[in-house]
Amino acid sequence: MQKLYLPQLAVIDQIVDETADTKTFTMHFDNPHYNAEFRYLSGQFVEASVLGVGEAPFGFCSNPNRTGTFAVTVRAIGRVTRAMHAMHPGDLLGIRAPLGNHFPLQEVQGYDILFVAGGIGLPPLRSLIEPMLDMREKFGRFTILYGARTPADRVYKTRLEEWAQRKDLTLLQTVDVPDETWNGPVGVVTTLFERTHIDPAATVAFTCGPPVMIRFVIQDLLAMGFPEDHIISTLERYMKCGVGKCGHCAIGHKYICVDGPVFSWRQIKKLPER
Amino acid sequence: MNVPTVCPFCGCGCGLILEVEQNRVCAAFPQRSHPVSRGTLCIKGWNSHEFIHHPQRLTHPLIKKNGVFKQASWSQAIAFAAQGLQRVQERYGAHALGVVGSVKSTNEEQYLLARFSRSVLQTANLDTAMRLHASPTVRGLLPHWGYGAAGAAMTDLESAKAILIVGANPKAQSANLGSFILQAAKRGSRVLLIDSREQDHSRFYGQQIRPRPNTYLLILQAMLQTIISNGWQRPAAALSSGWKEKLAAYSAERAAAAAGVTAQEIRSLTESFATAETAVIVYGDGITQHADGLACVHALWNLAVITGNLDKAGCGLLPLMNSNNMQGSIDMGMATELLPGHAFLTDRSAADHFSRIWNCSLPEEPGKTLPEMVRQAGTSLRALYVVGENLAASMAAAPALARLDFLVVQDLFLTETAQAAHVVLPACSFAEKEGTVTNLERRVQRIRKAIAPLGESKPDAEIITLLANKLGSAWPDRDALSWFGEMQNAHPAYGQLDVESVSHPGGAVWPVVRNGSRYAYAPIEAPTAPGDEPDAEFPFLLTMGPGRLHRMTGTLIQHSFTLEREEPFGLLEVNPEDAKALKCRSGSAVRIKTRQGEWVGQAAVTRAVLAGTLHLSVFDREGKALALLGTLMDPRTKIPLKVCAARLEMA
Amino acid sequence: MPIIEKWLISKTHLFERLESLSREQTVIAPVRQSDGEVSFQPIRSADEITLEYVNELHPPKRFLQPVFEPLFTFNLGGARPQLTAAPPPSPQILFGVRSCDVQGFRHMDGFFSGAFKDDLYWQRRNQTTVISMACLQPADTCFCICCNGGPYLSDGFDLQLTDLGELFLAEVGSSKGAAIVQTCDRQSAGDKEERHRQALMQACDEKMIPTAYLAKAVIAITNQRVDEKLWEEMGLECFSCGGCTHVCPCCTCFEVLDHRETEKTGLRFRCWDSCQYAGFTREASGHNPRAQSKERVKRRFYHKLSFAYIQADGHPGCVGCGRCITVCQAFGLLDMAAVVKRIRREGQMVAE
Ligand SMILES: Cc1cc2nc3c(=O)[nH]c(=O)nc-3n(C[C@H](O)[C@H](O)[C@H](O)COP(=O)(O)OP(=O)(O)OC[C@H]3O[C@@H](n4cnc5c(N)ncnc54)[C@H](O)[C@@H]3O)c2cc1C
Ligand code: SF4
Ligand code: SF4
Ligand code: SF4
Ligand code: FES
Repeated sequence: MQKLYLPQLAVIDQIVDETADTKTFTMHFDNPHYNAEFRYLSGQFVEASVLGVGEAPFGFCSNPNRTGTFAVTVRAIGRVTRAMHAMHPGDLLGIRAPLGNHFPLQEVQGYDILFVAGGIGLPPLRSLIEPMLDMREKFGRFTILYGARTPADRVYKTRLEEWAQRKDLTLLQTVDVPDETWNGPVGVVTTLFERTHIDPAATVAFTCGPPVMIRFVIQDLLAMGFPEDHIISTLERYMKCGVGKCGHCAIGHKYICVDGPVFSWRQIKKLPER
Repeated sequence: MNVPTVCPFCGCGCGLILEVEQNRVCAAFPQRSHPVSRGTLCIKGWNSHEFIHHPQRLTHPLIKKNGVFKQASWSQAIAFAAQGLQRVQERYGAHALGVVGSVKSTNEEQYLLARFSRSVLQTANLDTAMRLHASPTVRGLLPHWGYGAAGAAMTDLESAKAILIVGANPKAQSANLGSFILQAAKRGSRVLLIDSREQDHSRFYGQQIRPRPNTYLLILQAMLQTIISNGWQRPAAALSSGWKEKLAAYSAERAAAAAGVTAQEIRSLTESFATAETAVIVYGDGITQHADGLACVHALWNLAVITGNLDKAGCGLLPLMNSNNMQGSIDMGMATELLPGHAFLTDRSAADHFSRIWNCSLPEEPGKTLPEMVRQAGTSLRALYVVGENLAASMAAAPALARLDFLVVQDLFLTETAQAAHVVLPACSFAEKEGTVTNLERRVQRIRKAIAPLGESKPDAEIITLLANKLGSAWPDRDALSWFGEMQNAHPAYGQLDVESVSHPGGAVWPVVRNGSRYAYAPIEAPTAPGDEPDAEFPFLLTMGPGRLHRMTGTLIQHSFTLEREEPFGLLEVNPEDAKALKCRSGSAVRIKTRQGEWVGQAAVTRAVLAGTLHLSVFDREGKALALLGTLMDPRTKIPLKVCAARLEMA
Repeated sequence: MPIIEKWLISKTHLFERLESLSREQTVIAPVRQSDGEVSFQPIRSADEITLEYVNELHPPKRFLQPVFEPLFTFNLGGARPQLTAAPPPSPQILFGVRSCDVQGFRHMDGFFSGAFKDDLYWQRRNQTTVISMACLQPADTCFCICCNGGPYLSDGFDLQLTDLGELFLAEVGSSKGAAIVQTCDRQSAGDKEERHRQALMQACDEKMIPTAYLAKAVIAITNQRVDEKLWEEMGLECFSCGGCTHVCPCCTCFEVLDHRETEKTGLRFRCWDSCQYAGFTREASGHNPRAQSKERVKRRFYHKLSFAYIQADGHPGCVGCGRCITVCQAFGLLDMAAVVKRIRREGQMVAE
């Protein structure tokens, strides 16, 4: 039986509306044995199938330490994502996972940690933030900067509340377009840099979000004096197979699905196309 | 199994091979020895197998009951269709019936449909999408050249010393023709382009001039004038009397001022063209779908005559045909003013011939053209039989279709048009039937059955025969290709071909009678006011044309994964100067407003369009973009124009 | 280098053997088609085989990676979805494959291996016996000599044949090849036949395009020293037809699609795709990292000729089969032979 392209069935446990077009799907594998054995790492992703519609890649947003279930946050934008949004708890998805490389977790112990997320870029970072918070003492200063278009476009609003309460981390949020509920900062996410104390030499930065945002974030971080390999980001490409075979995700000689999606700026910089 | 056949998309008629396994067409690839494809295909040809097995293919007849389609048997559906047509005929007369054919159907099918319309339904209202692209070619060339068809072949592009392209983008629209031209340019032939939009290959051509849309006629007349005043006409080309005087009004300066180019550009392009020993003239929708299309075809004809560029190798006119068998629509007389064999209906001897062989009486005057049928739907037109044409998209006709008493649609897919039908007859694709198609250089080629028809779908010819017989005829039930014989009797040029010769790779070109270059000039015509000119409120001139992939109505493209993926949405081309004023970037959402309608989509900022002009590259399926244009059409050929005044806003 | 067994087998005898083998497994061989072209097709009788052919345009890679290949079927009718992997392919013999295509197979073998071994590919591959043909009839577009792709090989085949007239010189490259030879009447081949073969190959070499050396282009592409203007010009010339990648024995990219056959049942399949298409990289948002065709042309040559890939694959992504010369709509401008020449002659930036 060939397995590379054959998904495992997973049951949707819970669907949470995050924003007008984004939902979080928590699920577990239908096969109990497979589910019990299943492990993944922050930064890896799944290929999720709606059978008869197609397959699409999503980063894990859940904490890899909590085994038994996992979750992805999905924005409805095309065929597969819209079909997922039409599903209900109890429905079955096809899942191939875990795929891709992962965020460095052990390697960055002892450093200050900076997260810079934009919009739908927070989910994959959340799968790293949470296990880090599980061992909070292993890291220095802990800062999360989050920007969204409007207050309503922020995902994980309750989780953001919880983080905001915590004394051992700094969470700053900003929106491009405020509404009456918003009394925080207004502007793009990079404007939050002035409001924080960052020691570039002692910090590792993780950034995820729309490509334009990432570009500006990296520009600023470099200007602050971040070493190139202390800036960690993820790359997105049209993906099909997730296993380095279909060729869609290749940039230069890297396959984002296998060699990525997590890259340091030092690695990204060397790619012949960006 | 390999099945050689012909590409179902553009007018080039590339030879392709379908790879068939277990009654499934798995792949398409080019024929190496084919004179057009020469081992190549464009993206459409390479992916031409994709739509064949699309899950949305219609596989059963459908009859609408209380607003919903119900599966029906063929005998029920044919009876239902026949009764519906008959009822309208009895109540309002045959002139309330109309037939719209497909420029993708085979020659045999189009011939049968023309015969069906004329002799079974006895209506004068028949047309195809040929109207929307090539009617000025037919009307402009037939009286002078004897044919509404090309006089040059693709291979003439290899020997031509000059190639003049007017209002066409061969690379995007007829890729293999574009391939011949690129090769010619790289070999050093003079390739001259008159088109307001810049093209990928422009920089490889010898010269391009970019007149504002709607001013091409002035440029072409100025070319004639320049030729005469420099004595560049070929000796054999005697001038008609009064010509010089008539043309005096069309100086290069006048054209230059109106078109936004320089007189020098016009003169040097004219010189390159006129002094070349041989030249082919390629033209397309930029001529036929803009103001004065017919007059422009006349002017192009005159340019060919005056330079002696007819009837020799490396010479002639080569109008682009947008579809694999648009030429067949013309050849088979599938138009209200035509009879098979390039005769006008008003040609009484031809009409007598066909009333004899078809055993029917033929009207003296043409009936309704496609735009007229759409416009008069619900008033003087009551029922339509539409074969493989998505009028809702190509004519923005959904509201008109809703006004009909009865609509029969025969198609591969449940198009927007089919959704409006009372009965839908499932037709099968080019891979499921036999027949012949004719490309833009008059090359007649076999298409072959590679797989059995999907579900209960049937070839058009079979369905038309069923319907004809239900309506009281006694047509023999023969396979499509055996109609080739009857079609040949009707069409003198096809009469010189035989099934064997058209079955070879590359088929056979139907012959024309050469006239030894003694051709009459067409009239010199003055430009008319196009009717929808820019003003303060609508300052832009908007043109519309096919994208690289989407054209006609895009039904096949839409159902081909790779092709749909390649061009998923229409783009509005905006010049950087205009974009700057609006703070618009590539990808910005923009809104176009015209006197007729409104469209929202993405902008592509590019120097390919002139400042002050916009170009919309794709016809969207609901016909929203087309609705921008309103109902302007050329009064003589009834071709709807694809130019209008517009306003651009950020959305 | 392995010591290769060499035998002489009479042509008619081997053909008879193939005919009887075709009762047990699919035997695919060059067959003349109704349109005059020769195509690799399943045969039932030895009479169908022709040896008069230049390489088919539609490459034999399709027998290892079909244009259309089901991954699994699904049935959503029951209580839970049923997924059924595609049935394993049946054994096949590919007879008469040219050396360049065998090199292409080896390229695919490498690519479909690795950490994520493509079991679907390997199922088919393991069931395949390759009887290759040392090339005596290069097409006028061939340049395998420049790419180590032929005209004959020292390994990579199961059995390699050289046409010596009445006889085949048969070289055994694997146990699968040996199994076939063992059932044939044969004599061992000597120096005389070897010399005969050398002479034939010499004659073949001389018929090839001699100017398609890759080395200079490899260096220029690897160091990103190809003049941007050349890419731009090539991008404008390119029709984005995708032909060059479809026919290339070294191109493997595919798209994955779901196809519903009925309301509840259907299949997921993969099919050939092309990096020359804009849709290949366009994301759902409309953003396209390779929106312009110059970027896509660049991508194709980066993949085939950059040192990074050559190192990963062990060889350039070209075996010199010349197919992209034939299928390119921009005749003679964008095929491998033309592009390496253009980079060599006009396309390199002057060193700073
Ligand atoms: C490693 C990775 C992680 C991702 N994580 C998330 C996530 O956590 N949440 C989320 O909402 N989205 C995520 N995306 C984007 C998501 O995969 C696309 O939005 C999705 O594929 C759209 O599929 P569709 O079928 O609905 O869209 P369609 O338009 O119907 O399909 C288009 C095709 O394009 C491809 N595609 C479209 N957009 C993208 C994109 N942005 N990146 C890559 N491929 C794309 C897909 O393969 C899809 O098959 C991620 C993408 C990648 C590569
Ligand atoms: S050029 Fe025209 S006929 Fe040829 S493959 Fe493309 S669409 Fe088909
Ligand atoms: S790049 Fe061209 S010549 Fe080289 S292997 Fe591919 S198709 Fe053949
Ligand atoms: S075959 Fe030629 S024209 Fe077609 S995509 Fe390749 S390089 Fe471009
Ligand atoms: S997604 Fe297929 S190679 Fe990366």
